[in-house]
Amino acid sequence: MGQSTVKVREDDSSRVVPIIAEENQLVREEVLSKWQNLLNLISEVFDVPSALIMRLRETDIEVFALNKHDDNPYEALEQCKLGMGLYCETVLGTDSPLEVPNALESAIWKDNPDVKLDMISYLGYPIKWPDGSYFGTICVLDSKTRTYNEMYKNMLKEFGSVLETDLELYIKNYELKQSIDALEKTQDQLIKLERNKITTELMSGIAHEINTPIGVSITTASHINKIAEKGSQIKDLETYSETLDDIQEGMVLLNRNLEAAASLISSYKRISTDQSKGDCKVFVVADYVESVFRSMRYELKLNHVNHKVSGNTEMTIFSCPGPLSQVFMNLINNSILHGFHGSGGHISVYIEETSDTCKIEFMDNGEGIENDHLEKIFEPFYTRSKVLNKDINGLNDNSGMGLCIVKEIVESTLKGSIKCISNSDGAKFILDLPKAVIL
Amino acid sequence: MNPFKILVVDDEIDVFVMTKIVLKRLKHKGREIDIHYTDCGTDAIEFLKYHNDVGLVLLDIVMESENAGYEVVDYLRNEKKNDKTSIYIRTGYSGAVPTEYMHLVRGIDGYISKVEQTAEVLNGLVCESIDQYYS
Repeated sequence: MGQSTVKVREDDSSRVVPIIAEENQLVREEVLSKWQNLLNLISEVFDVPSALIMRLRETDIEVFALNKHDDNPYEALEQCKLGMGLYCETVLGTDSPLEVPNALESAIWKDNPDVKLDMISYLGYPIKWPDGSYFGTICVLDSKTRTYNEMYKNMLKEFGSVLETDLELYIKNYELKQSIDALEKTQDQLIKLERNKITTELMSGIAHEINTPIGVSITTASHINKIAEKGSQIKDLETYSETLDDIQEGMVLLNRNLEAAASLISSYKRISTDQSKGDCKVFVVADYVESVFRSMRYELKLNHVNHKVSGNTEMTIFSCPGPLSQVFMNLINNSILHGFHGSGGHISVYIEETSDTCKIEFMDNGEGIENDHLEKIFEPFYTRSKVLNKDINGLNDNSGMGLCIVKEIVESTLKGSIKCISNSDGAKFILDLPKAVIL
Repeated sequence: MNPFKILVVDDEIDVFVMTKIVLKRLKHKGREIDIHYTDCGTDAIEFLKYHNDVGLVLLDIVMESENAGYEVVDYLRNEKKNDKTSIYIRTGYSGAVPTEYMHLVRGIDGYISKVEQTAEVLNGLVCESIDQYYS
């Protein structure tokens, strides 16, 4: 909350009054036409040349809205420095209505600034924001002596409370907009977090997969070493050739397992590479899809899921392979969790070249998605699983974010589109990716 | 003298190949080694049903299901009431034992992490198992 200092003419004092915080300032356009109509009506009913809504600011007060009248001496957005002892300053400083029937007949009011404009009679009420700080005043002014009966005074007061209701509405809307902004920000962060989580899960999957070939290599290498150490003690040719055979046998196994480890690492590197837009290149779509299946071999095996990649398996595109791999990882996760429910199934990926896009169909033979769910599946936090965070054979992605991330990556990073069709034979996701992403 | 019978249970066949290579010339207290292999828990249970003379089971846990290995332990110790056969868990995971299988841990002779297993470790534990089996 801010504050401003007004001069109360009646006792010639300066008083500090609260005003609304800068960021909550009313946007004039939002209420202007309604308030202007109101003031036109007031000026007719009160038969005055001037009906005003004044806005109090830190060092001045401005004509926020006014009626249309030929004899109205004021102009919209006209400002007057505080401290001159305006009628409105007294209304705000005393927090009560003010009625001056004729300023010229009052020792206090006869030399107030508005007299110069011939505005010698005044009736005004304070207008407050819901938090109690001042917006300003609503007032009527005339160039002749005026006394208003109670009915008129009540009417102006009621008009004032209409304005206060508008201000309350405005604040509520403002707060609502802030909440929505905050929610959207949170959603963006969640999407980022979920994307990171997938990479972490992938890493732990690879770590497990790699333990076997590395373990076999370690044991075999130590075995070969042991045999070699005994080499110098060999006396006869037969043992010598047997030992060489043993070493050879070990080396073959060692080689094979080191290659398996290397290939796991490279498929991990392939899909976890920097997902920034700059990381685009020309690649064979089918190769990357296969690497995703390979990196998820463990999950697929546990869930008895087999797969096939067919169609134009030679097709190359210029796009971002990291994000594309993430899309497939999520789709596979989705099929296992929601299509097969851990009870096994088949996934087939069909790649087709159209005139200007690469069309990829991802199909599972799971239980499918009901029609009324179809349009919601890409929304954040949407999940069909009643039990959140339920594990199915090592997979856990019931955050309701999986397909939302898919859509986000496909549209914003890969510049393509995705839709889903489904029946009781399974779900089909159709991706349309540009042959070349324009960076 | 009968050879010492070992069963390797692992979904990666190279784990078996490696074990066979390392143990093929091992002879402990006059006993040679006879190695058998199954690639899943179900087949291991089937094998153990008809072979009562297995002295050592080298067992992976995560195979056709996440706890397939523990089911083998359960079968051997609780259903066949066999306490003579040594069981060593050989796993890629160093993770904790799931609570529902905790009671089986007593029935296990040891855990070996795949990446810490040298030929010496493997030889050592086979010899130990032979000593125990024929004691």
